[in-house]
Amino acid sequence: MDAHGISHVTGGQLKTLAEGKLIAAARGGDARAFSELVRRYEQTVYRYAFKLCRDREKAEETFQDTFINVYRKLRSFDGRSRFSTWLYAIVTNNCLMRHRRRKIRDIEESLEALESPGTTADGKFAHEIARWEETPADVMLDRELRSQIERAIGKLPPDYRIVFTLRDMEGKSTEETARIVGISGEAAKSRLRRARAFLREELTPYMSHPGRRDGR
Amino acid sequence: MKCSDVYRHICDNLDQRLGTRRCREIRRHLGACPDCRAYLESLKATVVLYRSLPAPPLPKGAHDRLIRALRESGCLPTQAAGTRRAHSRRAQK
Repeated sequence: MDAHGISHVTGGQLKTLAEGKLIAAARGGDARAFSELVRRYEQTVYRYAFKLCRDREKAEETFQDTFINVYRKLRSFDGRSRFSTWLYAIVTNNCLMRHRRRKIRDIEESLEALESPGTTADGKFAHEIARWEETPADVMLDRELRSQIERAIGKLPPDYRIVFTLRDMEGKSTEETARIVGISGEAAKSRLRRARAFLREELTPYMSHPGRRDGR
Repeated sequence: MKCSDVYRHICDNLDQRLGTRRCREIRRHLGACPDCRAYLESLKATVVLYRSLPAPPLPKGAHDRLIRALRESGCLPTQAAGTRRAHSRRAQK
């Protein structure tokens, strides 16, 4: 029986088969179709998982869990969202489940303060804004700064890191980010504001006083 | 327009063109306010720095380990079952 019409498709043709047909066949239990979906998305899933976990081993575990979940939930995929959006949501949930036990309360309180920075009665910044003396191009290869960047993103609670990664690293729109995470657009914007402000604060000592990094 | 309004707006629209009336007000404010300008520039630089972080490709062997995990979880047929099915497909032709 060939309900989804792909048993005649050769291995070579499978690689260019339309995604909708592939998904329909995989939902019908076609192992070749499912394997092809894995092949198409494995790099995307691994790289996104790595960006969230910042750790190869955890990224690979998340990567495996994701495809096992994709197989198990494929029948519930109704095609209302794009397949990639649905896939990103599964990676995101797997990542959140791995982090759930981490203690994040302290950092969340300090992130709330970044929602609106201290301003005076006339709406000006209460503190002078630190000038960044260096541009990203100046410091791109600086190993110490790179580890500071890694440390800072590691400090961000997963809820914020996920939104920052989707919007600023994966280039997703606010709407798609909100759909992937399952939050409102306003909540996605708020998390992004806080995450960016937090990461900026963490890098300011390195970017506003270049001599501090290498003893100049 | 206040710095606090600009702060909120530039964070939401960091990478978008400032074209609306409100955005023109913000652009005027940015032209006159070194603090907001410094904040916007450093925020943009933050994003550039994070985008420059390497995201490694799938490690060697990870694909095979995934296929093994999928077979062990019953998501894909075992190799023997897959081979039997391929033989039967060829026999039908």
